[in-house]
Amino acid sequence: MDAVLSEKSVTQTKTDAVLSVKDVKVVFSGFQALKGVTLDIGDREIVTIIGPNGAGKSTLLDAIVGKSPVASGHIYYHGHEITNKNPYEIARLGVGRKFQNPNVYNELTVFENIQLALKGTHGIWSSLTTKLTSAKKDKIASVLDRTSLLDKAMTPVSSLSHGQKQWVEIAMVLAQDPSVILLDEPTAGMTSDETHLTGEIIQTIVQDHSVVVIEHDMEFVKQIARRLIVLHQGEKLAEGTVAEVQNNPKVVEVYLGRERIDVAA
Amino acid sequence: MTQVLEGTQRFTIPTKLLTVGGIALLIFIILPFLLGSFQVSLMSKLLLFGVLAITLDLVWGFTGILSFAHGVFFTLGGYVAAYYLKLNLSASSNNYGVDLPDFMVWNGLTELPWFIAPLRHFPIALVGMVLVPALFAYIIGWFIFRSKVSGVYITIITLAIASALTTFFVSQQAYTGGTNGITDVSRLSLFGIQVSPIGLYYIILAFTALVLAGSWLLTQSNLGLILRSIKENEQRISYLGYDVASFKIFIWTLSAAVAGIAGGLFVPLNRFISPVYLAVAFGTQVVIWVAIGGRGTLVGPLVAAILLGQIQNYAERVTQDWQLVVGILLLVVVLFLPDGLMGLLPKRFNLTDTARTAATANSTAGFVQAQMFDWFTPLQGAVRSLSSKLGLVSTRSASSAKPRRKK
Repeated sequence: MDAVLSEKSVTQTKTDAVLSVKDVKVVFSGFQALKGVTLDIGDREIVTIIGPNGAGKSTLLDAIVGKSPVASGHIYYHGHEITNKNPYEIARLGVGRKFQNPNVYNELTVFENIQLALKGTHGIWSSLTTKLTSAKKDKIASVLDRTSLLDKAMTPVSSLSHGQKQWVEIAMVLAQDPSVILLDEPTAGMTSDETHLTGEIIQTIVQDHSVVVIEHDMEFVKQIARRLIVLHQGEKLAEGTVAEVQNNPKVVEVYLGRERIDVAA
Repeated sequence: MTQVLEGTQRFTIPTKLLTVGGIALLIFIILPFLLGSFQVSLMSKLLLFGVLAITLDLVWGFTGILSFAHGVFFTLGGYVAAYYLKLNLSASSNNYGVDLPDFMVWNGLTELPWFIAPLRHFPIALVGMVLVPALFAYIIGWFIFRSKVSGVYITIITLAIASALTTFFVSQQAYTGGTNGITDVSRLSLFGIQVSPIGLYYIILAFTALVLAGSWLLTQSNLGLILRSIKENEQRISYLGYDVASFKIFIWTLSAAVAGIAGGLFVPLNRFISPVYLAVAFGTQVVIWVAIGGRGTLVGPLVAAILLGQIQNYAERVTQDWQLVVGILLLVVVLFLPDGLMGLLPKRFNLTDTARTAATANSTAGFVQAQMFDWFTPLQGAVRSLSSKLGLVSTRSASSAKPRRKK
């Protein structure tokens, strides 16, 4: 009886969470980058991940989007297993990723970057036949408006600033309209004004998406974070609200002597 | 809000393009009346080489896959056409009184191999001309692109394919005619009427115009955008939900199929086909046409193929070392015109999307040099600084500061 109940509760957590990471391990030629991380992201929830360099933050996102092979463990999306699927399959299901360094198309215009990311034209035949309808243009325009890039639409991305490139990538993820959005250091290289605006963008994104954010900037983390997860050496060190995590002795110990805790404290 | 994006209407009627294209087509239509029969045949041949260069441009210029195997696809289509024309020789021109091509008789074959026999029929030969190179390309493409081989390794594989197939065709003398290939084929007849050289020229011209227009439409579609993205960063686009391998296999197979038709039309003109066109040397020539004409411009490679063919034609009369002339031209283009001949045109004459061309100008140039002519780089820098000191060229920065089209 107990066994049946517990089994039931397991499937329950699978279906409740939009994205569910179960005891995932990632190994790079002998080095364990992730030593069994478990994580659930609920509907329209924002989870922020912090941790020192090499903690495995980006590797966790890599594992989710199918970039790094998962050695053991499982990843579920709405209850469906997506572990080690092709990146394009995972993306089509509804997982969008913003990379750490702006990974945008410099040779294309801002508009074309967003056009590429737009939901729903992924086949060869459809790519030949689909027209850029006014509905699609409206969608692109609204995404560019949200990221304050509208007046840059026809500019080649190569001529944008670093911060603007970050926004182009956020805009691409928005155009993709996935149910889970993974943001890897969205504010890296931004001015404080830009960072603040990015925080506001993210807060509007959360209204209709589940979001995972990796961040270093503690001010920014305070601006957006509800649930905070600390990764350290491939393992989950602590989890909780910003205040809880800051007062966690284990976290203090790991960060002790580091510059970052001064900001955090 | 969308007013800002007005300029993005993709299919406004390209009046400029239609005018220029129309005038060019008209010139080519009048050409046979002005030229002698030798030039008509030469131009027919060069148009087909131009089509071959366009097919490589789709794969290399737009998608970033440098291939030395496009001569192979061309030649496979050529062999299919050659079998058809050889098997339809009239009885009187068949010396041996047997229903077998001469080279098969010499090599002791007594009956027509089952895989060649059906090519006697026109519809089957026509389909085979497209299907044989396309299928061959599809199989290679499936293995190359699904196995995630990338960059320069793909290029090495295409070199290997060209070499291997050359050796194979030479060795299978009884079936392929060996080194000589298939010679003395019949003239092409359609519906019982023999096609004159001028008729053939017009068929080839129509085919060329069709390929050029079709390729242009293709590159202007969403597919064109996806191909250019694959060229710049194929990893990123897979995280947007695109199966990159399937797009590569598609464009690779499509370009092979078109190259095959070009090869098929080449044989009634050339009256023979041989492993020369399978070899790496010919594949390299196609790469040179594209590099000189301008990658990703479609028209450029066609122009370069015609121009180089004509240069060869006249240089050959003056000197045996005509290849030296081509070599020097290649050097000049690589050193001073990284965008190819199309880069010479003022922007207002540029028929491809100008905003994009301006944006890609530098990186395209960089790519060509990095991919092909890496070993030139130190030399190139030296020549450039020297020539700018001497005031020979207005320095590189002038060309890299091309104005971007404002909307």
